[in-house]
Amino acid sequence: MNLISNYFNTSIWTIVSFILVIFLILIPLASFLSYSFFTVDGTDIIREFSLFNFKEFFVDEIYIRTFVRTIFLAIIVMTCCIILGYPVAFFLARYAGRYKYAILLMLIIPLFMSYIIKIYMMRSILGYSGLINKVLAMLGLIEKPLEFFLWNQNSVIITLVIILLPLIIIPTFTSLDKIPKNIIEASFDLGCKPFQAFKYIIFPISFPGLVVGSIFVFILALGDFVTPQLVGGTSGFTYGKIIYSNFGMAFNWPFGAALASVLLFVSVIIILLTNYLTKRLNR
Amino acid sequence: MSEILELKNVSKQYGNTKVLDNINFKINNNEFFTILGSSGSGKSTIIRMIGGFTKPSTGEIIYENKMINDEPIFKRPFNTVFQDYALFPNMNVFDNVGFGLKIKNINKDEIKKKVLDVLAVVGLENFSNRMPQELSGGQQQRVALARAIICEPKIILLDEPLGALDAELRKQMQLFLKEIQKKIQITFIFITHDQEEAIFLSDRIAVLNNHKFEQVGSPKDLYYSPQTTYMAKFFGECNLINCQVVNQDTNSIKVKSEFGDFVIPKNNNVSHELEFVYGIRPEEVKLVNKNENSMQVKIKDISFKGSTSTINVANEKGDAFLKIQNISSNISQSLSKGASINIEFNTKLGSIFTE
Repeated sequence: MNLISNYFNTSIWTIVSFILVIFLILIPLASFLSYSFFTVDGTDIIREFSLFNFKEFFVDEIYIRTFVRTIFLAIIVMTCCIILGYPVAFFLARYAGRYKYAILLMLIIPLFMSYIIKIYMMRSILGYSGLINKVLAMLGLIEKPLEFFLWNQNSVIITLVIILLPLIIIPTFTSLDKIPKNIIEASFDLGCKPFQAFKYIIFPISFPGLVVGSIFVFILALGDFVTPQLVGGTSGFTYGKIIYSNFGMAFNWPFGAALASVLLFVSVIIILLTNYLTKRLNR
Repeated sequence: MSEILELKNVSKQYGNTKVLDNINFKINNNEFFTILGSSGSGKSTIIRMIGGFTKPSTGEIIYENKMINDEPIFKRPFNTVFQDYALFPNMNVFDNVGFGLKIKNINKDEIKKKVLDVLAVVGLENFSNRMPQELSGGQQQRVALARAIICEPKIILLDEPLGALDAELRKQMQLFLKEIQKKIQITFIFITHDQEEAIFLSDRIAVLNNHKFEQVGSPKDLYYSPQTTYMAKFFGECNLINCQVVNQDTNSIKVKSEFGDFVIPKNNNVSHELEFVYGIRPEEVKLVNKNENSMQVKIKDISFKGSTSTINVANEKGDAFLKIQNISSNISQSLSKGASINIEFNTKLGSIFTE
């Protein structure tokens, strides 16, 4: 009896979750993808199959150039996040003792804040009359405001790194924190010096967590369009912003959808590739 | 036998809590030495101090006549088998076992040869590509042991290695450990809370009670000549009888007890004590015909255990009790509750406690 009701319950939930996935994710995605095969005439969408949009993407080199540049931008953001995030996660997990969860909570709190507010905040820190320039001017180190921080690629990178940093710290911390103490002791017992224990034991065990965090950061940085819009100025143009303007300003939904499809395709490839490589590395 | 390790006046304190109080012992080469104690008695702390994971608050750890208190873990020629195995989850069995050699920069071919040899010793030659998570508890245990053995340490420290295994597997692993220790000729320091396990495996046992060593000796020593009443009750059962010395000569003492008078062989160090506790194992109490050394007691109850029976008896006044074991059931059948019988102690195997 119990078994039957259990079975019944499980199968109902399985069906429900499938329905949710199909109706809330797959169907909208498919309809969105189908738009990429349409074309526009003025403001009307012509619903006929055409590869025009994709041709356009490959022919006009500005799109591919922006795309490649955005990929580089995302790689830089990801690398910065790894360099800054891993040590934080490491010291948090290994040395923060009983304060570690309190500190972790403080790192998570910004995730509850609106993304837009955080970007504006960064703008007020990086801007011409922002915190950094004011402090430097007060100290007499500069005469006129530095332009290094605002309305360019640098500001996009700095802002994205700061906003996305918690996303790499959390999974890395989790994978480091669950390494039992006695596994590290065992490595010392077998002759490891501290650096060797890190190299052969701690880092490999935390690696999958680092990869998950890195993928989060990479994908989010790749598709982001608000940050370049608000702090990027004219030279901080990214692929995400092009997509956004095709939907918002140019009213060319089919072309926007085509650009987004390319992005989605590349993202999925990257995720699958990392997944495969991580598994091979762990063998 | 040569001595390999010594702990001299070792104490350990965490803040105000004393975990170990003045521990002294010596371990011989190739010995199977067990530290036996209940959980929280500080037994793991001893092994962790020897391994180098924690330092003694006071006292010295001496390895081959050299004080090693400050020697870092990775320099000590000891390897540990951890309670929950502590296998590296990111490596397969082969890499786990070969890890100690890899750290020592030994070349790959030699590592391969040695790992396969050791895996054969522990009976896991077909498992070298498995990940630790894919192994049963007993197999993980063997990998942990192989990982320690391959480094050819002078001492292997085993921290309750069988604690997590079920009873059946535990028995198998005990046999396995005992055989392997004989085969590889390495000193084992073993920790357990299980008395039977300790008796079965060990050359010598140290019993830890209340943060101190109660007694150190071979299993037979601990059973037949316990030095304290705690020890008398620790292994098996023991009747404890309050005695007063009536008179003594050069080789015997006559004592008075609640059960009557009896004579025990004289033991040098108690000659001047007038009162002491006498301990006698239930199986060393004999039923006899009345004679000048026998005591008369009343049967309280008889419990049938198959070929033998256990009898509880009381003295004439009924305020003191004794347990008698291993009475042939042929004899116990002819006895009945309330009847009077004569008993005698096998005084060669009794113990005197003067504390």
